[in-house]
Amino acid sequence: MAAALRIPRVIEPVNRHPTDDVARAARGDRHAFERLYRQHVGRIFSLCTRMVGDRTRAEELTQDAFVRAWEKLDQFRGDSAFGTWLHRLAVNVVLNDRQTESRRRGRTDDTIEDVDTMAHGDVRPTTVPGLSIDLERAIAGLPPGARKVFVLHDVEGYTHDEIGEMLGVTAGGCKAQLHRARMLLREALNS
Amino acid sequence: MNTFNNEPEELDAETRAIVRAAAGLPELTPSRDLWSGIEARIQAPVIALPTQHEQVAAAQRPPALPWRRMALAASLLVAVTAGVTYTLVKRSSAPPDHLAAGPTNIDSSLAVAPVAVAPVEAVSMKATEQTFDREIGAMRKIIDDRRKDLDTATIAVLEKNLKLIDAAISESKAALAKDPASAFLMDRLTHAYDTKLQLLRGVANIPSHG
Repeated sequence: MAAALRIPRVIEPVNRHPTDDVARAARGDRHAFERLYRQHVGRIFSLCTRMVGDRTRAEELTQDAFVRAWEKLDQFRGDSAFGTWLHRLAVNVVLNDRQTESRRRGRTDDTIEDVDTMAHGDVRPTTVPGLSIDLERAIAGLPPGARKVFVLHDVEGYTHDEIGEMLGVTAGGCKAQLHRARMLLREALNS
Repeated sequence: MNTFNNEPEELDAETRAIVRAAAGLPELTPSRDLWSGIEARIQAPVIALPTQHEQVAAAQRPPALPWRRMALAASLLVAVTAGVTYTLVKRSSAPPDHLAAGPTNIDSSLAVAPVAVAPVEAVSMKATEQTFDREIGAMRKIIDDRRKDLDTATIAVLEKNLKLIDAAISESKAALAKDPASAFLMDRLTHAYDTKLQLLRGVANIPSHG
């Protein structure tokens, strides 16, 4: 089968003067930073929600990510798009979050959970034909390690090398987790 | 991140559908506006959030000692402020220069550490209080947001100490109402506010107990 080509999820939102607000925010302009927040909150919240599988915690992590961005804005050199920088920062916030994992401690890491028991709020179902249950819920039900790799790779478009670097695992280990996640999702979606 | 992401695995149709669906998942929307919480935090004085390494190090420290110190400091503050306030109010008949002359003129039995007294004219106590109130409010907001993450014993100690400090603040304010020109009392009040702010900052910096 031919290799699947996908455009990564992180695309700079349309904005006539995106760098203006970044520069202003870096100088302490909170209104400019609020505009940046409004532009990017959806993507950051989506990332957090899918990575942690818990919308309430994802809202807190989204706030953490933006606060961290505010604190580190002076370190943003413009080498990448602001959205890409912010996205990567949010990934790090989620990966460094100990609370999420401690909350989920006790849940098995070996089998997918019963997706019907996931308190997940008003997720929007996908429209892909043949998917018997909500893909969002199925992703939320994945074991944490597999879920993170799946979200970072298949939803957000990071490469195995990039994910391996973020998670401190080898690219091979990352691929194994991705394969496992996909298999678990297939099971969940077929059940 | 690469522009294109090669997926070298051989995928069956079912898995391909999942991958395609995952790539097309829509953006989610928070159930509430998160900006107000972010704004409150970025308006607060800069607090370096502890890194994972620092959290581990903090978790390895004996937990009770800092709180004993903090409780002791708060109690000391209350005792000193109450003593000084009582003495100064009692000596209200003394000439005003007595206080403005500096700590060396204060009765040594009070055993108060030397205090740098700022020129009264240069200090707007109201503005200072407003600044403290704003920063203290921001700290309280952070702690309220984190309340569920903090140990209940920590919260209990915090509230107890805040009551003590608030009592000291009230006493200082009452004394200042009787002697509004007293730089020494202003300094005591400022010190009490600062102690309160430091206490709140300390709690805001405590790693989650989970």
